[in-house]
Amino acid sequence: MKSFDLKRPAALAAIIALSACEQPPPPEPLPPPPKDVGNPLVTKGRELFFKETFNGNGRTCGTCHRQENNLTIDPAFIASLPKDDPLFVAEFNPALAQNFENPKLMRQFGLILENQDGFGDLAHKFNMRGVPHVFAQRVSIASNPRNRFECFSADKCPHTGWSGDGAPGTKDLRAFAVGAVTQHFTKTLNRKAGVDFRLPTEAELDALEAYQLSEGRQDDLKLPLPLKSAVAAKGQEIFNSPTQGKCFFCHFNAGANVAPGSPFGEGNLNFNTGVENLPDQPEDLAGEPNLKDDGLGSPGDGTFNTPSLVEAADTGPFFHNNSVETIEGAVAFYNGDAFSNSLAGQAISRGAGKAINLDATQIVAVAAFLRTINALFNIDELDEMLGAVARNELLDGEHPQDVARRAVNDIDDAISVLEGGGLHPDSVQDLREARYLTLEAATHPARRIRLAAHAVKVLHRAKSHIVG
Amino acid sequence: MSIRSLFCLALLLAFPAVAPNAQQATEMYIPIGASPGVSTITSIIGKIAAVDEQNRTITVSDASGTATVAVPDETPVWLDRSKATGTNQRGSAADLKAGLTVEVKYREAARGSSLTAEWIKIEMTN
Repeated sequence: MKSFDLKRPAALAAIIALSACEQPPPPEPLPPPPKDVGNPLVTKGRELFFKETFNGNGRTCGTCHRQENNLTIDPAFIASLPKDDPLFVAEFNPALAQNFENPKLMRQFGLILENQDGFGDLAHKFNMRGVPHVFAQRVSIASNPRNRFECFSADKCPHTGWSGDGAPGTKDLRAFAVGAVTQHFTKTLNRKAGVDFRLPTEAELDALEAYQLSEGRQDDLKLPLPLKSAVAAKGQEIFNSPTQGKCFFCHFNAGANVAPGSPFGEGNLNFNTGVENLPDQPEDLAGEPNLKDDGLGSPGDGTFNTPSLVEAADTGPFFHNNSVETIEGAVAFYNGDAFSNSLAGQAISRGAGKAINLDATQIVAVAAFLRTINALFNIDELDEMLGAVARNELLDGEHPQDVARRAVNDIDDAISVLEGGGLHPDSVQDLREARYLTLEAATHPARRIRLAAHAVKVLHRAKSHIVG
Repeated sequence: MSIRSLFCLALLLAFPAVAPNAQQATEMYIPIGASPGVSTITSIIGKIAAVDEQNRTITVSDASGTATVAVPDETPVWLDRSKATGTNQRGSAADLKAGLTVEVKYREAARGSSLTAEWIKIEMTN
């Protein structure tokens, strides 16, 4: 007969009693205040860029160049904004109801109204343009064209904005804000400085320029990269081939500058690529007033700025009028009649002996290459952002908690860019893990530093699957 | 075929002849003295001392002296009403009168020291 053991229930009761008395672990201490190690001028410029309305209609530079959306806007992002967002000022400020924006084209296609040829005839002189991101300005603006008609002086010819002539005064990035405030920040269409807005001061222009130059890449890539995806590597080869893609002629190293030795000049140049001649452009199909954009100059010469391609894949829609939605479509554009019949297309055809003529697999390969370098750019940006979080540093004045929150968006971009091309599922898995860690870091201040440091390691792993 | 020769073959096709007419969308709306990187650097702000309609020049005097500036037909002239009622407007060479305060953005001529006006803003006080 089995004897009854009095000791066991007693031990169990003791454990239960002890458990009931057990205190939860003390909460982890919050990290100390973050260190401010940034450039004060950049910090000031960033603050101005995203917060300063210049006594205007409520918009800031960041109204269109959204930090949480790759310093640009697109229809999907616009749809997520509240109806009182300053972007929609034309919808709730009666003084701006006419000839300031076209709300329909803004909401459907992300287009902004620009009066490139002056404010004299607002109803008949305007262009509808997309919002370019402002990454990599340091390596995308300097221009030294042979055709110097539109240059500020014999030695100064910076290109800003879609047609390269977005700024008044010296036409450089520093002066750009003056034109942007006058165009987009005004309370009324009188556009009277000191009444409808105030112009930025010299010190503010310095700071705004410093901030914009600090965003994104500070150097061009050096192609070719040792890409691990066979498709992306083939795309890179086509991109850099003088007989196939020929893309590098204008986008050397996938940036915004022409290849060395170009007789057109050096740096960032304008070209007429025939985008305005595309058939069935979405904004035209909408039936809204939309004039032909004549590009650089007044009257224009039909040319537009060459954008950098590294940041392209997650900053669509593409071209100055947002006429193409996908990166694959943007590559395919160079196969079509609009480009082939354009001045730039004719030049390519005659120079190389034939037009650009890529098959579907080649188009996808070039797009895969562009998707891949965009994801690498995202990871590099995330490395900087989450590195600052892990070191408990302000990033140009931005608190680590906010940086972590914003980093989640960038991780989403990288995932989306790779998944959209069926690329690197292994990296995508790592990026998902990094996203989880980053979201946790953004949500739990006490664990922020540790989680961010871990996320950085995972991001490095994600990158190692793509290149090296 | 080298990149350079490809470009050279294409050169004439890619660029149409364009009149040297800079885009002035916002410049007209910038008050005298506030053009970024331009005002007092490559511009003169002063009073019109003389107008020579025959030779299409104006003489502008400021604290540092006087300068005679050529005013070609294509030079935009704007009426700056920042200190007055109304908005800035396009003007013309006929609005250039002795005694008016102006800002003249100049470019140096190819030879010599004569200046050519790229644009002119006239301060309107009423």
